[in-house]
Amino acid sequence: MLVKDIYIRDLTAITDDMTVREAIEILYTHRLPGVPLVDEDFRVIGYVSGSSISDVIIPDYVKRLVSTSYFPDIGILAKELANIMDSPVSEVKKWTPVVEEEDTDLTALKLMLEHHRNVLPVVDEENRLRGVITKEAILSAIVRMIDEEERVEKD
Amino acid sequence: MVICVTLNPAIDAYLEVRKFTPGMFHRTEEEMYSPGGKGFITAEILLKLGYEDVLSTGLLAGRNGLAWEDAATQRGVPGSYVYIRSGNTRRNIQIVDLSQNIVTSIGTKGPDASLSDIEKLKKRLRPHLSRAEWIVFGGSLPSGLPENTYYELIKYFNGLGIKTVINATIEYLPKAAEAIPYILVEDPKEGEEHFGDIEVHSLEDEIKLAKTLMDKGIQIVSLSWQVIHNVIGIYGSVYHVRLVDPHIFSVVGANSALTAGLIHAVISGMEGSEIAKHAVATAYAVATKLEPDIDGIVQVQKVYKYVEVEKVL
Repeated sequence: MLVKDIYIRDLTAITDDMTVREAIEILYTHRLPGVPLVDEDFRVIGYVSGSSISDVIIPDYVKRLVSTSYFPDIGILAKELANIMDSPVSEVKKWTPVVEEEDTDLTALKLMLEHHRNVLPVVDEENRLRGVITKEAILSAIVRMIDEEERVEKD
Repeated sequence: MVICVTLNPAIDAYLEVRKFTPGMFHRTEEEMYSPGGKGFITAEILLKLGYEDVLSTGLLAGRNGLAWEDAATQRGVPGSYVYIRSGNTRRNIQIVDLSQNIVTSIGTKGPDASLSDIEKLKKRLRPHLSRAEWIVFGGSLPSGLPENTYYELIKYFNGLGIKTVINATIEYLPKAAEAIPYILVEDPKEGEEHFGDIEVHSLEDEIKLAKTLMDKGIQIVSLSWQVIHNVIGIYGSVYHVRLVDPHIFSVVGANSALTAGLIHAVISGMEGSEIAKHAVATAYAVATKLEPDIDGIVQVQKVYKYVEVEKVL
């Protein structure tokens, strides 16, 4: 199966002229865990997610704590977030692998597993965002394929 | 790229009940839900006509907004929407009483928008503008936005060199027309017989109005009523377009389809009467169905034979 058969044509993106505050609002209002970051020509230049933002605002020593029960109060996170809230969103971006419409579902799934991602941006030949493909979309397509094969066997 | 903007979309719910009695509980016999909105329908029809570089955008709100976006994305229409902070996207509910064939409609109020939402939308569109050739504004305005919103948007995007299109009911058009969109499509309301200060009672009045609007600089003007009778002004000429022996199921979305047909015809290099025929055929293909949808351009070409075009000016 090809990416073009199963990807979602959701072009919600964060542009590199936005702030961290605007990015959080988009993630929240769209109920999305993350969205691609694009430049002024809609080319994918990264990925911004709740995780990529929290990675920046959680102090290093907290990440090294053995148990989350040692986690300090929320105030320290609020302080860190306040420091970066109006900074360019590029400060919280992460690199992301991408796939093209003609790639296979296997290529997408391999990249997801290799880089611990659930979502990958789908781009055209000029790296412009065309949509996203999710692990769930791939799994659902595989289920449909199995069902179809079973139906054909029965017939 | 064609950007299609719906500022006040709605989830259209079509519910069939055996007999509708106010004050009673009803179980539906059939039901159908679809993402509605003039801009969105224009985007979807353009895709079906084979023009794929389309972006649907607009303002959404609350859980209805999320459901609307989910349904729109499921239909394969590329989209990017801005969410208003409070309120809920509208629902338009049609209850069909099968025993008497009577339709009862309820529309929810929708969210309150502000000019800051419009600014967010402009910002969202910025990375698409280098490729955008057309921008379509369709439908009503959500409450909270000033009456001149379309006027300001058309002026703004005209200034960026993008061809602007407005498809709306008469209350929005006289002001929007002052900003000189490339295409103006009127979605007529029953009983409305004026365009701003201009009285429109007859075919002659419509022809005169189309000419007046084109003289101001609007390139294409469509004044249509229920698909059957259309007056379309194209680059200075005016065409009276009629349907021969029409079989119309629903005119919901027909004007948005006509808008898509006009844009598709211009992009495809058609001229004059060809543009008029293609646009009305697209609208008619949609009007033969319950849902505002077509199977493809072949379905449009099949109904060309029912479309009669006469140059009247």
